[in-house]
Amino acid sequence: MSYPRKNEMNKAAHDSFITFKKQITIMKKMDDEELQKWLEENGPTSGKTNKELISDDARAYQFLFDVLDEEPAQGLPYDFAAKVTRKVQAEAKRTSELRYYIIAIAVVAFALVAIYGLLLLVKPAAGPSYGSLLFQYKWILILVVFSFLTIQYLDQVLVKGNIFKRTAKIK
Amino acid sequence: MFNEKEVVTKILKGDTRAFELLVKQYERLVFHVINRLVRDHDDVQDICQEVFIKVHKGLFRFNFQSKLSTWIAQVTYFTAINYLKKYNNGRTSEFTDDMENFHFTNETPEQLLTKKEVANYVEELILQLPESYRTVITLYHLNEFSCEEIGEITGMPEGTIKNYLFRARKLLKQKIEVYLKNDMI
Repeated sequence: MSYPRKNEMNKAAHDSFITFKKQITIMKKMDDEELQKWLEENGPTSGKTNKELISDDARAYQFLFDVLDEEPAQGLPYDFAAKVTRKVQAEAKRTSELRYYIIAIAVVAFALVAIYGLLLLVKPAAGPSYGSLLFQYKWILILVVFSFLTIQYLDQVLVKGNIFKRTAKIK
Repeated sequence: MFNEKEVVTKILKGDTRAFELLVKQYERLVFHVINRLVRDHDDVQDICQEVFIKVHKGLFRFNFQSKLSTWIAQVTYFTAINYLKKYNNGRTSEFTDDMENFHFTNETPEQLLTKKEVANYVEELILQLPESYRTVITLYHLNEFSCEEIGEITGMPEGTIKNYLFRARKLLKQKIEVYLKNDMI
């Protein structure tokens, strides 16, 4: 009973050896382009082929494909994703803060103009004096608003450009 | 299972956990490209971070016409190229016409005794190749993009990519062959 099975096993081994020999013969005859294509289609096979049989070209390509497909030993730290997420959150917070400040300044400016308008309607005499008061301190008001927005803007730009600026300092 | 559409939608709605998931999914891809293109290893992590911040800011422009990985690889590639232009005084080591006579500075790996050391040697050789070659080799082998996808990422024609891939591998093979001939492995 065991004889046919053994025979079958021998036949399978023989077939696989013939296929392997055919592959090796093919690899021997191939030029660079064909070798690269063959390895792409069949995958790097180091450890499976006999080093004595295949050409130097094929062995070198086999080794090269092994190395090229290998993951680099070092990588990003395990908490990289968490760090990036925190940074993105911080940037989003800063952006929304800046937006909030701009809206607040716009609301204050609108309120000042609205008060002036209302005074003109309700108490026409007080309107011009209020207007002249605003006009008297106009540069202080403009300077305060401008300085505030500039500080916020610079903070954003400096934080955003921090990465490349730090690199430049090292060089 | 990572569902691109679902994750992108969640991120656009402000879900930071979804963004963290996206970073975890693509950090290897970004690292491989940056690590191969930027020689200064101290900067690699910072540039990877910059890539993901750009991805977060520009995600609303992603319209699912390509794979998310292709789009992220594109952002990564251009970030690396911009960095190289900025900090190499505009000089990027572009390919020479005569790549057949390309010379690596590190000529003989005589001290290399193990396969791992040869792998390091090959890695060093790859870093000496021009950027276009390094990009193509990395995207094709490490990140398993097709030549068509690499074309989408880099803007290079498919024929050029195939040519770069072939020439880069041939150059590297020639160096390895010298080593193998000495039967040191």
